[in-house]
Amino acid sequence: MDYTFQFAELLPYTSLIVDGLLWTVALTLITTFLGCLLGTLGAAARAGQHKFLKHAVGIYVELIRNTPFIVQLFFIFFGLPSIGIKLNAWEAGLLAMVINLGAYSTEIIRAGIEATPKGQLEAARTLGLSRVQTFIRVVLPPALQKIYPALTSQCIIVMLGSAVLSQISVQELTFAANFIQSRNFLSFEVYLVVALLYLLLAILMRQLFKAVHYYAFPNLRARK
Amino acid sequence: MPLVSIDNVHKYYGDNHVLKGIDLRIDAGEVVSIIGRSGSGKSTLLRCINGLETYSEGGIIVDQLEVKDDDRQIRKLSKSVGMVFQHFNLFPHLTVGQNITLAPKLVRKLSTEEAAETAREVLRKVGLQDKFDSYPGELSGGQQQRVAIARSLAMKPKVLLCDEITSALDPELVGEVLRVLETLAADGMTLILVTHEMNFARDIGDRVIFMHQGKVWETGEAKAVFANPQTPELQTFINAVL
Repeated sequence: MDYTFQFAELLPYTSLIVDGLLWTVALTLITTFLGCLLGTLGAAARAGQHKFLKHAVGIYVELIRNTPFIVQLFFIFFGLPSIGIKLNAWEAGLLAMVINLGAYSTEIIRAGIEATPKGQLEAARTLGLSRVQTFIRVVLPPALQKIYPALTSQCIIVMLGSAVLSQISVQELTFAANFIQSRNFLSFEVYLVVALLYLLLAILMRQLFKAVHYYAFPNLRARK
Repeated sequence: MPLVSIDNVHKYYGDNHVLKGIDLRIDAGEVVSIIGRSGSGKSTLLRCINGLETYSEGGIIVDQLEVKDDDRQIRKLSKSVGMVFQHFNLFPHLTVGQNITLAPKLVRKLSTEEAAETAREVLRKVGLQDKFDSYPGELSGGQQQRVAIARSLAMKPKVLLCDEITSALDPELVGEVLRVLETLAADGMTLILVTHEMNFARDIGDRVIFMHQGKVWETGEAKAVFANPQTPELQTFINAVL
């Protein structure tokens, strides 16, 4: 092997990489928030009594979970303009990510909701809580607690999946890598650095989720 | 006027006729124990009284409210009828204080301070005033059940339904829960208990109802029923459990 590593050649592109990284972080944060919110509403509909909503959300979930993310993204960005819905790359990318996470988190959260012991519902009913109050105050918090690891893993998967947005020229981290590589052909160096940044980001997200878990579910900290 | 009137109530689970025409009147302040074998319909009857189970025929009126399968009516009933369950059913993610104040705040519309004051008061009644900030998972079974009783009391019910509330407890924890019930009985609370604690039914209860095959088979003043059962079925049951 006579290849000489030239990591120093990347230095002029530092700001490009940092910008890309920040965009990836921003996309991920917004998607995590909106996607989990959408998932909670979807799960409520899936577990609820309204027949039409239940089936509509079911179709949405199956549609998203059984098609490739990149096809969903292209459909939104390249397909929707044909029927008059024109989104710029950022909007299309964000929308695709939120819709994607929403579908997966609907199924994850629904599993948590369905694991609610019947006695909890009977206690809430006996105390006079309405359906909505029961869902928000009694059902949802323990449900989120149970499925928290699965949900946070899904958020990290979506963060990694955001790399695909480079294909519609959203200037996130992978887009920056592709751009730099096309300029200096230092594929090894660029993609290694970017891969490590994704790894670092995933580790940071895991730590952040752990911290959120600590403060959000104080009952798990309680001494036995 | 009786606090609880049950008129000719029938219930079916499919083809299974579990309640076969129940008639009962329970007055305010009475302590009534419902005893009988499993499958005799006693828990089902109790759960019909606050609408957790629907019934097919007849009528139940509690505190002048008709018990029917209607969400709004059930919510109204919750202010008159409390219920304590075999498995406590405390909300695990909420502290003792939050468990108790949740319904008074959401349903009775008390302010946070009022609800907290009520919570402290009912916790004192069950002897757990120091557990306000504990989580259910930190408490013993007996303590959890006392919190569940306190949670029901915070809604200021006129009648408290107890569905085998000591059956899931270790034997050494049963006493503390029964003592709470004794205090409530002495305070004049109307109690309807499905129970296997025959000594409690005899010594604290005013009236015993023996259910058998979905019917009220025998009923009477507590001590008399145990001392002098009239039917062979009750005789056999008492011999088996005492």
